[in-house]
Amino acid sequence: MIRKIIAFLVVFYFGYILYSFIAVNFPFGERPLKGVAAHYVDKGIEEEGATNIVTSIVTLYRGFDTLGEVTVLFLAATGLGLLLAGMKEEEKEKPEPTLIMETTTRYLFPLVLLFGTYIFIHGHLTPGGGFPAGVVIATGYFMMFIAQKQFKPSEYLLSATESFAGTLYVIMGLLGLALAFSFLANVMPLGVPNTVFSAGIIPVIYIIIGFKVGSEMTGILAHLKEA
Amino acid sequence: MNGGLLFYGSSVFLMVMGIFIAITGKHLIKILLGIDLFDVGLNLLIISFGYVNGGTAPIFSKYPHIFKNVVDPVPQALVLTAIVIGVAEMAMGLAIVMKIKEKFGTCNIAKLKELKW
Amino acid sequence: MVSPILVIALSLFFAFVIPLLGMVSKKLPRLVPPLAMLVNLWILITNIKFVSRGAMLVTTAGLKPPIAINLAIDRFSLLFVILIQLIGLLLSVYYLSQDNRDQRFYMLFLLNILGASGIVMTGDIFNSFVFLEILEISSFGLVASKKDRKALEGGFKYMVIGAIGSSLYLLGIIVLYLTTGSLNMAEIAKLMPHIPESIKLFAALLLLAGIGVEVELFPLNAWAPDAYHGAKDEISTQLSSIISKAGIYLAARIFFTIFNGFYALKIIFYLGVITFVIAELAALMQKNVKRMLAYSSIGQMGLLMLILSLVAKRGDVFVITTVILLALNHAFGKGLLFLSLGALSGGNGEYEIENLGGNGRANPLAGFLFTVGALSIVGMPFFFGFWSKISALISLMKTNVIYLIALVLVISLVEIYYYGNVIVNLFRGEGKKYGISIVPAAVMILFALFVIVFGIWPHPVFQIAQSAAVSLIERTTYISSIIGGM
Repeated sequence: MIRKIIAFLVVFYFGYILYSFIAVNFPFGERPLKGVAAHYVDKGIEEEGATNIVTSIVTLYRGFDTLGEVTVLFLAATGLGLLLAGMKEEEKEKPEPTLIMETTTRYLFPLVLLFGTYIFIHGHLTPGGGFPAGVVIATGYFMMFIAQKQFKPSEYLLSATESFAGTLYVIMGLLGLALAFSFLANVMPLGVPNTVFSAGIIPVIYIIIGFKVGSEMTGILAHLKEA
Repeated sequence: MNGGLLFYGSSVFLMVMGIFIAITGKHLIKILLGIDLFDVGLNLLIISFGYVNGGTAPIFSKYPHIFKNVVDPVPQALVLTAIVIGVAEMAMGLAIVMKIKEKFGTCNIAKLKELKW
Repeated sequence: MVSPILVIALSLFFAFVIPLLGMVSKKLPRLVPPLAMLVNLWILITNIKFVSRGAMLVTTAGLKPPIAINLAIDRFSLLFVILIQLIGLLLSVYYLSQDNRDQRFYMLFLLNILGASGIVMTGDIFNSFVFLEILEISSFGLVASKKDRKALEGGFKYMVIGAIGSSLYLLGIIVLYLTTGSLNMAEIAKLMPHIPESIKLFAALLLLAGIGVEVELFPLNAWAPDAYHGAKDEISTQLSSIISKAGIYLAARIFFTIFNGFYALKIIFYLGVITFVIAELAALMQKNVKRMLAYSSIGQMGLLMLILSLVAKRGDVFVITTVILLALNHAFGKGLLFLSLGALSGGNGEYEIENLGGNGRANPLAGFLFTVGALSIVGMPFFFGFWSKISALISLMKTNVIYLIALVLVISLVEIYYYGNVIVNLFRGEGKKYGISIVPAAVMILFALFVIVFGIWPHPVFQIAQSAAVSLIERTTYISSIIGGM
């Protein structure tokens, strides 16, 4: 108990230092846009053609980070598979899903997938993009895992989708290197901003990410559920 | 109300609680949840750093009419990355905890003799 | 000219392709890592002649820094990335002889090397965070992949400390971003004189929290003994030879290039001394050889960090050269020790001194290689470690911290005592004989050749290390070659 109180006091003391430091140095909302942020806001649409500035930062200006981010997720899916391989499933009573649940999920599932697809296709226009879309798709699968007893996506297919999308992403980057001498350069025509077919490679990358994240998250959930 | 106190204060509070849970927690899952709470607090903090008074989301959906007073888009992009990384970390952590549970039969630190700090 | 960004792009490509190859044949995935490392080394070696003074700028997204992410490769980073890839190649060849591994293991291994290379090559501070995470997540996956109690325990501790450390690192990056409006290392370095002292200190401490986990600095190294002990011998090699090297690089880059040898280095100095002393004394207490090697590894890293921090006092080329020499000695010497210990214990996890008694006589090759590694680490003449230890002493002398010389000498005696104890035990009495196949033996011999050949003839290594050190010292050249104008 004494230990807990001491830990509490120490941790809150550090929290207080952190809070007072940031409150003094970075007053809330009073920092003007400067540096790269100002550039992105002013020139973003001209340079990359996407009306969603966050999207152009994520996929192009800082696209290399996003490639790393996809890699981290891939790593997690892989590591999870490696660690949990050959784990025995514990025998325990699993509650039967009710009829209502089974029926509704069956009808809801395609709609959820459709919604996910919508999000990643419109990533450069509206909030969202490949990552949320992938998670939405994985949620659809997760719903099916819970509600349908026999439902089991093919591991072969998941892993193939994941690998294929990853390879495609790297190839998109190499395309930029080949055509514009810079990795992940926006080599496709920008089109008219604020339409679906605009912003060059952004929608393409977001479609790839959507597939990749969707299959990876589904894989992670499937592994965690099975073990 | 002072926005700084609300946003900075609550996100720092989340971080502090996360660390507190992580260092005093006795259950492995609890420790992981503490770390996750810390991450969430940090992400909120980063987002609130990017706020500009009166700014809107950095999406120009009324193009070609552009309203230039927007919040800083960079922290949002960075947080997107940080969230994904947090998910990956959590997934690996959970996998390790599941293996520990299988090998040791318990997730309680007090009972895991080998997991003394 | 082949763009160095291909090192990262192709490694990723290979890692993504492994599952597809695994569907074709179970034998193919094993061949991918050596192939990838060979290609990477070729790319890097063709680039050596293009990297002269300053840094080579490699853009992404077709835009100049600081707008987009860029790679910045100077001689210092080139040396480290070649080192990382070379050890990666040796280890991946070592894995060729083992045919019972899951293909996912090779993916983690490849991504681990990728993360380390990315940290070393990137010129963007947030990008270094992403690669740091790739490195960390893959390493605790690798540590835990042995799946026994010790390994899981080490993996979990590493995960908890690593997660908190890297979150603090992220907060440090954000603080720098908020004050400078940029995430580019060169740009932040350029704007550094305009940053208020308090913010500088705050950011430096937060960044140190993230790096400290990798370089096993004192309060953040609780994971290290357990992770080293629990992991397989090859993974321990990887932890000591690759991961901590990426950490050293990041520390040098951030505290020297970005913060310009700012007084936060004083903190590193004290932490380094504490780490060095405590870890070496802890190594002395160990009955378990692998744990002893782990503590010795932490101690070496402490010495490295304390010498690195001396740069603050005088921007001296020699001090940085020393850091590089120590890093090289640690990479090859400690790697050799872990690998040969694996061969001596027959890979069955018995690392207690008494269990190993006589095993050196029963397995003469492994015993000999272990001895070579130990002699190099303690700094015997005619081994590479001698030159690195001598330069460490000279650096201490040059920077007027004479009292530390005595400390380093005393600790060296301690090192000689505990390594000597193990070696004497290895060659006394009757031991168990374990077979060693040709490929692992060849890899270990290559490690040993490095410390022996360059121990007798250290000149080329000195020269390379010196030119790398010069490029780290010339901070303004680095900055102006990335964003121009200083």
